[in-house]
Amino acid sequence: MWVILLISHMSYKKGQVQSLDLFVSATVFIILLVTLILVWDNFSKRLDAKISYEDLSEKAIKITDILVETRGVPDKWENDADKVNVIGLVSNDRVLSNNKIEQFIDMEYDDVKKLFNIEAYDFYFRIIDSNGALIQIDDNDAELGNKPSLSSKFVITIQRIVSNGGSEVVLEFTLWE
Amino acid sequence: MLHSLSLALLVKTLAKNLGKKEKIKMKKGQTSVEGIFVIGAVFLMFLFILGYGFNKRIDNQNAEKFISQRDTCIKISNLIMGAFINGNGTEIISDSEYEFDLLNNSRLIGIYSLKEKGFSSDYAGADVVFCTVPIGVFSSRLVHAGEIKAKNVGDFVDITYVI
Repeated sequence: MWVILLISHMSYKKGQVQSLDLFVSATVFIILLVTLILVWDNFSKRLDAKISYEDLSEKAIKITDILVETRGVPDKWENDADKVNVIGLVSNDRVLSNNKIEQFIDMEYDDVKKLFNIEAYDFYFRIIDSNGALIQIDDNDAELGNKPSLSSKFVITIQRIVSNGGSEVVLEFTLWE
Repeated sequence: MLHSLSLALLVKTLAKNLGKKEKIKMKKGQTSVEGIFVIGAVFLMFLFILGYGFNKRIDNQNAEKFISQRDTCIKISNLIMGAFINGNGTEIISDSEYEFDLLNNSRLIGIYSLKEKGFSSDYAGADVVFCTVPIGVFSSRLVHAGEIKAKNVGDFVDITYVI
């Protein structure tokens, strides 16, 4: 309003550059330019965050696939867990092997991270029944790793329905950063 | 009457002279200091926007290239995983737009920005995008762009270039 009043009170000669006009237009232009630069930079940051998130979810999906669809390498790695090359938790496709799970949850957290090539991240693994309660394998809770905290940057949880002793259970793998 | 007439004449003469003075002060085509300053500021602003836009254009091109290489990397990683999970004897044919390196010790796939076979110096100077594979049971080698085959032999995945 004050700008309009000021402009209306000023009488300029023809062709004269008006300093107030210039000031207003330059201010508007600079604000638009700064906004454009900030928005553009924000896009780059969002792209980086999206790539990191996709990377994490891709890793989580692949690890879960290995756990529920392969026996591991060597086939009977549970007999000598020190020589395991690839960890698989099933005896047949999506049929859990209690021996393999028992060995798996006894393994060192950092060793598992190294085997899955996820040293830069943290993970939490558990097997739950249809009510969400942890299942017991040889009197031990079927879980391994660290739960994500509220301050975690990205958290991806993959759930797969598998068979354990004839009943359906949920294998859950959470990868977080 | 005479007095008022002479006063009017004086005013007219003064106005004429003032007009002449103004004309002498601002010749045709002459610009003021403020004008030069404004033109300079606009020119500088234009240069800044041009530079910024050019820089962003390069950033966008690099991001596009990175995403394309990353896509290929994920594709190769999925190929290895698919051949491994499906078990012994599985054979999968696919293709790669870029030259790539398989490193089973570090369980990495490195995608070069090269789209055809080059000399060693070309690989050293190329941009490489890495992605990981959760398993290390695959062959380590340089694979050329084009049609590729992943074969699972005894739970070990061999990736070869199809000639």
